[in-house]
Amino acid sequence: MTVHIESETPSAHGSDSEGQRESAHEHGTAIEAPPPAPEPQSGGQLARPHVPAEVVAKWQRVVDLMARTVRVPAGLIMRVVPPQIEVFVSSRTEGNPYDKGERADLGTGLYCETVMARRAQLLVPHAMKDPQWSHNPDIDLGMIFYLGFPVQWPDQSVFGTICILDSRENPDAIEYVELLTEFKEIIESDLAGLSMECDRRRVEDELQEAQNTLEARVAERTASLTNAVDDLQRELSERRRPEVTQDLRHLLEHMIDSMPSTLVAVDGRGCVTHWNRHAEECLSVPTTHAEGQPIEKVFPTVSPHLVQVKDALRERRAQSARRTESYVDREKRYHDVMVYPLVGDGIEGAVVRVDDVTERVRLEDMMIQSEKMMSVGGLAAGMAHEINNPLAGIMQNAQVVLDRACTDLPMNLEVARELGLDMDLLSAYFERREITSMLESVRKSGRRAAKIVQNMLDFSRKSNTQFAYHDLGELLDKTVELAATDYELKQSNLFRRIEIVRDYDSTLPKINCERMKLQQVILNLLKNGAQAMCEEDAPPKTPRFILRTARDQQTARIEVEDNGPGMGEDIRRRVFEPFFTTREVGKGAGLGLSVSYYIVTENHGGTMTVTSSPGHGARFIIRLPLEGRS
Amino acid sequence: MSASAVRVLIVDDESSIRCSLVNYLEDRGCTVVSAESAEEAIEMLETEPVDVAIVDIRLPGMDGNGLILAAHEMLPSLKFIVYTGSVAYRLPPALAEIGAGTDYVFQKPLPDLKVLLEAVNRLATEGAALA
Ligand SMILES: Nc1ncnc2c1ncn2[C@@H]1O[C@H](COP(=O)(O)OP(=O)(O)O)[C@@H](O)[C@H]1O
Ligand SMILES: [Mg+2]
Repeated sequence: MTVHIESETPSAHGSDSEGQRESAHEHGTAIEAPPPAPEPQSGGQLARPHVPAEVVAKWQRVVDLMARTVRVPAGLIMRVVPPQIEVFVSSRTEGNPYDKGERADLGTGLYCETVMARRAQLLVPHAMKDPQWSHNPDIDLGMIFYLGFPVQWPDQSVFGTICILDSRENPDAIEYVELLTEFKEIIESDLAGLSMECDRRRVEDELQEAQNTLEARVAERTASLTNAVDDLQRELSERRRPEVTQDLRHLLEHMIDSMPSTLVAVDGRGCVTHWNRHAEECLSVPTTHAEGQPIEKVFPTVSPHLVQVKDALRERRAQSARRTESYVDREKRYHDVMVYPLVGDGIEGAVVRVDDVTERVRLEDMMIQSEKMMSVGGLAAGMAHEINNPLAGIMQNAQVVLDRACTDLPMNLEVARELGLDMDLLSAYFERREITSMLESVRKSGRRAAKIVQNMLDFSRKSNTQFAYHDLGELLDKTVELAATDYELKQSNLFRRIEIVRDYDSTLPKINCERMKLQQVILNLLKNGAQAMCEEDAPPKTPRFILRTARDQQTARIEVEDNGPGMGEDIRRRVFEPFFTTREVGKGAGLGLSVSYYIVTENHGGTMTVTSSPGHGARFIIRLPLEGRS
Repeated sequence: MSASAVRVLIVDDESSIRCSLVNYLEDRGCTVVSAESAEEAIEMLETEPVDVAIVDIRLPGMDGNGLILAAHEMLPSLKFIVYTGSVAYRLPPALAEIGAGTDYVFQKPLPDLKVLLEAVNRLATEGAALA
């Protein structure tokens, strides 16, 4: 939400205008006594919420209704934009001389100025008959009748006015004061809603910031807090006041237990003296078992960092190791390990704090990856041009050479005759030496290169995101071609070894889908399958994909099946989870299938499932509605 | 060359493309002249009679779009074919206004130059019918 900064101070006017406004106070026909007039907002800038279009539209209906009911040519909502006042909404009524967006300078004796200055309603039945008003600017527009109300933000600062104007004395209008007050209240309650929303957002931002600072502080204080626990404990136990010791100890332990980090304190020999609840939970080692043990025995994540612990103890300086890798249940995880020395009289020891940052590391990796992909998209178009030109040169020349070797071009025969060359012999020679077929293969290779460039472009082009009807078999084949050019797969020469069996339902109608996104899904499945089939431990003798399309009542079914190692129930259940991967970080972000799932279900209103068991390959099944996304 | 031979101007800065096109079209009976740049092409049009111009878009100096506009000023009856390696090419509205058609925009590389020959012949007969 954009927040417009508006100064509420209609300042920067000469004393003249002030005087004018003052005198206006006395001569306007006020119906109500002015409220204990708060001074117009002074100094400072207030953040005011923007009035969104739907609210403006509603106000438009309000003023239209107002002007029509009261039968005046002009109903307006005015807004102060110091040093001017703006027609914010203007009724769509006949004879209305005010256009939305029009502005007038403040300090010129406008009716509305008085309303705003006094924060009270103002009625001018006939300006010409009132010496105070007989020279005001609106008379030039023929508007001699005026009834207006201030419109205020909930904090009493002025938004502007709501008013009606007429070119004649309008006794009826006075009857409607109550009605107009209603309208004014509608506008003000909208303003209250808007500022509440704005405040809520600001508070949320502030909260977030406070939380961030708090977290940073918590981190800073962690060490000294643990110090304090030990200090206090010793001191208190020395004083032998068990009841106080108990209370304080509980409080502090409670605090340390509530920390979202694993916190472990060790003594000078590296044996555990404290073990917070987070440590108990993460490491499944109860405090009673941990205390007194050497830290490396109960906390394997820390064992590679014993050096840091020792350094911290010896040098009395904080040590840290970021993004350290370790395996938890065969899954790679990342931790930040920090060691703070305990400083205090006669204490020796350190606090080890460990945070699991796996998710963050993965997100960062993913962002780097997707940034790379973005730049590839941009590069592809430029690169295509660079490749297409030389490719045209190669293919065209091959074609002309072939042309000039054949016997049915009159021009060839003509030149051959001039030279006394037997054209039939020449072409027999070309056949025998396979020159013709070699040139044909130059053209063929050229065509393949051109197709690869085209595929790559189609896939990387951002604009290509509309729904259209596509043949699923064709789409699968295109994606197979694309996979064959995928750098990662190509590098290990995976894809070439894989046999591809196609089982397409030729009667399947075209399906309304976003081709590029669906291709992305299929590409993910092919890459995963290829990776699985070529895993080192047990590659199938003949790696094979079976690609199927079929009709299933009101859905089109796509299947991508491989004969790789498959997966057990525990993995199968989780494959669509974001960040779930059994591959090393950097190799797989664990996003391929979750993104695919999103594309199929959310973008296309389809379903995506997998059947698999260990040793029996995996079959991914996508169902898309035949009628396209409803 | 017979008097009825179609006269073609080829503008491309890449010689392997330009020369092979010249050879191909000459083999098929067209009268062909060629230029490496838009500026050279404009000079040529002042003296050489031409029915159809095959124009590359990315050229040193003035680009193909500029050339087509300038050449149309000089010879309103001249027909154009765009032959470009750029994948993002869209026919500018100014060119569409002077009668250049998206049917006559071709993307390099063409798998078979026959397509270009047919386009040249189509445009030439169209022009002849109008004349
Ligand atoms: N065809 C398959 N055969 C066996 N396991 C698979 C197959 N496809 C996906 N998986 C499993 O699902 C996990 C998640 O896949 P994915 O979301 O593509 O992420 P990533 O490929 O980055 O690991 C893989 O790490 C793998 O364990
Ligand atoms: Mg994957």
